[in-house]
Amino acid sequence: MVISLESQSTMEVKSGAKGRADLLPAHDYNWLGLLRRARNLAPYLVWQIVALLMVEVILSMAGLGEEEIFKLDKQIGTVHMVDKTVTWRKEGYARSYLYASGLREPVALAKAPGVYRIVLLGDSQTEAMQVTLDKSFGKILQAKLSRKLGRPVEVLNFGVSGYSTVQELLLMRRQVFAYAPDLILVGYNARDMFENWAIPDSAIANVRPIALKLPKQEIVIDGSAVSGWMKSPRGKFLNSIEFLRSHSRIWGLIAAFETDASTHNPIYKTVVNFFTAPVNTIKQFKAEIAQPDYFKKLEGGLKKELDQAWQAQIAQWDFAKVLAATTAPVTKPATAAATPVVSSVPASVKAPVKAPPENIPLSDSDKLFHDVIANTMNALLQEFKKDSAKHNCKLMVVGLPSRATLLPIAGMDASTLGMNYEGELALVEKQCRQNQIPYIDAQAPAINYSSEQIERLFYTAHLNNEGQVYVADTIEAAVADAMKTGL
Amino acid sequence: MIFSSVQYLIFLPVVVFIYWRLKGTSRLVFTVAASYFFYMSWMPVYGVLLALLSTINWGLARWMEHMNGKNGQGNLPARLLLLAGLFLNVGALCYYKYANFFFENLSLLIHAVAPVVPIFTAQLQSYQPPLMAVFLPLGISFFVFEFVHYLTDVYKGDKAVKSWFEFAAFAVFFPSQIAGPIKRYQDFLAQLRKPLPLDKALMAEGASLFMQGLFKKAAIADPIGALILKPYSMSQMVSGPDAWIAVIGFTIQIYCDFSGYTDMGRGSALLLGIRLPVNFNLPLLCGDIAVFWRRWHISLSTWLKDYVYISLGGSRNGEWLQARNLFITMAISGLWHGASWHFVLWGAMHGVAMIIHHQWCRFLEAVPFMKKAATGAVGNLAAIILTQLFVALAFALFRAPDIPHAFNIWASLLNFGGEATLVEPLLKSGWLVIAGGYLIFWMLTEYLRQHRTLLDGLLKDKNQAFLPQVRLATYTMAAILMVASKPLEAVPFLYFQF
Repeated sequence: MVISLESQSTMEVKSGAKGRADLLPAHDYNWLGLLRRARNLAPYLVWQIVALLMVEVILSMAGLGEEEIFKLDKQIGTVHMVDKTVTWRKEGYARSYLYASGLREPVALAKAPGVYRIVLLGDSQTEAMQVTLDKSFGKILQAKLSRKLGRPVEVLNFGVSGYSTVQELLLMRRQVFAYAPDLILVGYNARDMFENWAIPDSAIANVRPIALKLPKQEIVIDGSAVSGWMKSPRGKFLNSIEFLRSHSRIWGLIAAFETDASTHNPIYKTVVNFFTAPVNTIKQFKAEIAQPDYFKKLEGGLKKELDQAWQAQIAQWDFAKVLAATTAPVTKPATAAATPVVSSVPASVKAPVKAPPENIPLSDSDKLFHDVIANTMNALLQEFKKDSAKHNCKLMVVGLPSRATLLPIAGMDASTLGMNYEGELALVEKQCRQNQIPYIDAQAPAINYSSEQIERLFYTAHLNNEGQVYVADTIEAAVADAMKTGL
Repeated sequence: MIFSSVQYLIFLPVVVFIYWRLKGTSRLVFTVAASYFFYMSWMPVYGVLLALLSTINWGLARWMEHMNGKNGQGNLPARLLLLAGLFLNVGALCYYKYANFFFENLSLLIHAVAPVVPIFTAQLQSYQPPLMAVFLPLGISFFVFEFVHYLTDVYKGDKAVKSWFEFAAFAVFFPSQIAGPIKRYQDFLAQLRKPLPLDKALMAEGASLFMQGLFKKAAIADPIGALILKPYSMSQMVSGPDAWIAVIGFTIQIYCDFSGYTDMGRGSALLLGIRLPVNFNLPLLCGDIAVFWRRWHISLSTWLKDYVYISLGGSRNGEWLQARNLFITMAISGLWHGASWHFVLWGAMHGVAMIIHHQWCRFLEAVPFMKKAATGAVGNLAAIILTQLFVALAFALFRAPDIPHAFNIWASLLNFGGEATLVEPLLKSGWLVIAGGYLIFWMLTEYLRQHRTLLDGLLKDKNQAFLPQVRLATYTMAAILMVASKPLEAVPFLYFQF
């Protein structure tokens, strides 16, 4: 129908213009044709816009296409959008609103008298977009502690999906102290320490600054990866449609599809990579295919995507330079390739019942890389401690439960660089102890749970309502203790 | 390819384009070829059976016509030919659809009677049903009914179709091939020979019907269908809210699925200049079970009325026999929907409801003040609620895999305990808003279509038809909302198994 109409109107234009073509000079003839054509198409365009606006209204009523939460940020990489309705549907279901502070509730900067204020920092597991705010472990904790201690307690949730420890540090410095918190809880979740030094990929959630601590040097927090990403075609594009991203549900649908495809669809990923960075993609592919075990890898099944990313990072890292820069080089055991990485896991840590830290032999370069990651994590904890003390605020670290370790499911990777999440937690606990930061392992009780019990705590990867209650119950006593003691 | 697939969205415009380029015999041959291509895209072997049945029926009818011409109507040879034809068609249907059902039940019966039979007890007890791995050819229930109608009408004196291609087109016409409507050949062939003129209005109507059907299937039926999978597979009680969502949800699903598919078929046929019979006329809004069956799957109910109910004697032989005929017709209708007892019971339930309804009408006629109350606003509303409640409850029997599962759902409707697991997914899917929005949109457009309003200058042309830009805008809306409401898993079209 449309085609016939359009062709008819075009014909009209042609025949109408033809009559005048003899009288008018050539360029006038073109103008007239264009004008006529525009006039014929205008009603279609106007009605299409009306249709899109109506769809926006319906989608907003239905809560569809409201899952975008990230705004690009020059320093931190990503922050929460502001004044944005969010309806989480990927896992769980919760409708929320992100206020001007990026929080899910309106909070006055100034504390009411007598209020004890706790701030949560962390990634998606802390953010808890999957459940309504009042069902998140922070708010459950708030109610429990208020009751238990007989004084008003406020828990503010500054968790943001995808955050690494360094991003949490930067957010704390920028925003949190203005709220004069009495206690800061840093939620540690799987891979956080590795994300402190990750190369951004096509996903906006993975745009992160890099932190690096080399021996005898100050920690460096480098935002060049973020600014580089923001200058990439994809970064520029996302910035240019900022308005659409925060206001349009239709865009939200497209973005949800896109996010899904860019994480799960290798063909789509390759195509996007090709168009956003064609030269790099070709180079990377050439390097990959040049590796002797490339075809063997293909035969062996799917190589974990994350591992591949790490391989690429390690390949890019100039280890000679690191070695030269360090006055006290990391001691290399003679048989490094066969040495397990237990050195970073203290012997005092109880052996977990399930999923023990993996003893995968690491190569020299992996071992070195592992140590850089561990040292950086340690330095970040020290930064947290220093800054919170400066603002007269207590600090605590919570190791959050991770489905990937407790009850691995297909497609969820459990270990990086020979270390699974239990290993990460053991390392964080050791570092907290060294730096005299209280640490609670909220995963520990669940280690002995049955599969059914564990399954009841999670949607797919994130905590459900029951899981939120579990975390609040697990950490309540330790938080209450920390509140009573001095700095 | 099903109508809501990408392949069909390519196939249809290509066919429409070529169809209107051709004329006369070449168009007829092309229609048959395209339809066979469509039908055989599932399984090529299906085409062989259909071609064979078509040819035999075509030949039988011509022979019958010849006999009628020679010996006068209702002669013995013609009657034998009719019987042979019926035996062949119904036999094919029984073989493909009911053989396993028959032997399974025969085996159950034999095993049940074996202990009380004095002879051959051991042999009877060891009886094993010969289960056959037969594929159910798509649409067989529909085209067999069309063949039966054709043979019966020719036997009664209507003209047989001379051209094999014309008859083949009637049997395989792709817009109605898989799920009806069940056509009448007199009407169809007249249109095939002289299609409606190709103009903007025809194209607009066809495209709108197709789009409406696609939306009903993709945005309303599929998402709710994916949501209610679980309660029907549970053998223990589900919570009351879940059971109600399952019962009402399925009623809406089957209506939108089936009527949506028919709309797509009718829209496709309109694009070829052929108006297929209407198959649904707002059945979910009526307050009378007899009217429901005049509005639900109309082409099937009229077929059953013409070729089963009236053949059994209809209402001619008194109250008791009429009730019997109603019951048998509805039970057959149930069996037609599927080779399983829960379908038969579903049909029987409707049969009983029709009988009760009939008696109720007689009672109202006898008691004038009751009739006044029943036809008032309150009475009408109560009638609609009661009728639709019955329809929805009966559909649980249709949807459930077997009778015990249906009883479980019914029992669960009154289960006030238990965790409502479907409420959150229902809200999360946005289905309520989209389905409700469609209902409002539909009512609004129907009102605007039928009435002159202030908006006419904005929406309609001088012939009172909606402007093309307005139509196109609604298509855009429908397309985006269909994508937005896409369920996680694809749902096959419900009537495929029948």
